[in-house]
Amino acid sequence: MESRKELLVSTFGKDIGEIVAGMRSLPHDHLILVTDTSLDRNDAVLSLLDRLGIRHEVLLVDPSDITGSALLIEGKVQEHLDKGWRARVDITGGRKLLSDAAMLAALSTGAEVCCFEVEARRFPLLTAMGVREALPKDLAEVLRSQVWPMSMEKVRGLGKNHTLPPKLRRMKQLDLIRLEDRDSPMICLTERGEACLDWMLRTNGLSGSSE
Amino acid sequence: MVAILGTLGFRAKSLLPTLESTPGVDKVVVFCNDHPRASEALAEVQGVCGLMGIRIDRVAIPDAFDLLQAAKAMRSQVRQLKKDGHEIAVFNIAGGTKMMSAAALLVCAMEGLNSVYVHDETYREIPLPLLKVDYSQLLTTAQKEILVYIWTNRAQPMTQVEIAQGMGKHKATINHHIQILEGKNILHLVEDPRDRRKKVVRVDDALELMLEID
Repeated sequence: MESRKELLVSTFGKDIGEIVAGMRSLPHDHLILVTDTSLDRNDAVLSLLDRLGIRHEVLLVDPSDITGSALLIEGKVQEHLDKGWRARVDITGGRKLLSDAAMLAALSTGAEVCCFEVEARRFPLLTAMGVREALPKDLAEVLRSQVWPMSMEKVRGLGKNHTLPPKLRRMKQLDLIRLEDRDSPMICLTERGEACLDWMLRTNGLSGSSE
Repeated sequence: MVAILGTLGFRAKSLLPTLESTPGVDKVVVFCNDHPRASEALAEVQGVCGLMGIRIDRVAIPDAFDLLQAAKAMRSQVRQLKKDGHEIAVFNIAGGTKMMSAAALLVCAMEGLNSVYVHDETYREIPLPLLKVDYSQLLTTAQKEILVYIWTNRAQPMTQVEIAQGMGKHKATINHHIQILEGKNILHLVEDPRDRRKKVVRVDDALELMLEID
């Protein structure tokens, strides 16, 4: 039986030492270096990976955009998970923003999180429980399709059997929306709601979970 | 009663923007270790809280590199605050070690808290797209029973046959559930050190935190 292929995603700053412990102790058929600075082909780290014959790629992320960075990492991890690979994320290297973005991606995909700053620490997460899965499909659709903020009057005017009000109540329970008193009462996205909508809009084909 | 939580490292500025931006805060809970520079940052936060009339509690994280212990300490605080009637407005995860930050993210996901990152150059607050994840709800009753049994007997890793015998269940039933649990990354099948032809079931310490089965 063919064994599962292993993906290792390592956050990387400047020092090769940041990724060596993970590389040596975690199995990997492919290594993705996540960095916020461009790496030249002659960079010491790429040169080392070439000499060791390690299949690798560099994922350049924007250090000012933690959500965008997390999405890029998540996309790469998910792409491999879809092919049946196992994925691990080593958050040892680089600045903390990179590590937090990688942690968000791990939470979303269920990849194992590892850190080797002092000694080896490994922490497996459960598979696939990010925004994509935690947000029910029907609520994801409301979040994506409605114009925000939404007039409370408009909601009150909907028929008794309309499906939107109960969905809005569930969205309030998830702290995605709140009622604000402006000129008239308006249903607005909370900061979490805006962050989740941002995540959804940037993710291709996001459909949410089914309940 | 509104509380905010924050991991704190060497820079008070990673936490202060959240103090300023969150309305109605009357309590701040800070998680930090005993490093002298962390103590300096804490003193600065305490000074600001004093001026703003906000109570501040410090929770010591003895090992700032132990994700599991840090997450347990944080979750325990979150639950105590909720029990005491506090509304937790937000958890600022920007300060402290990478592992403290990662632990805070994990707790935010498990407890359904709003989380915010403060950019280390612009000091702009960035809300994070996290939703509550109840890991224990992902499992069936049978799967939970199997995990509790494995967790309780984790000092002596068992094969699937031994688990079936110990639980008084059919081997095929146990195999079926273990296959699903392995697919969910909750447990692993590893070579039995006593007999390399066999495989034993291994669970990680994280199970205790994530599934609350201890």
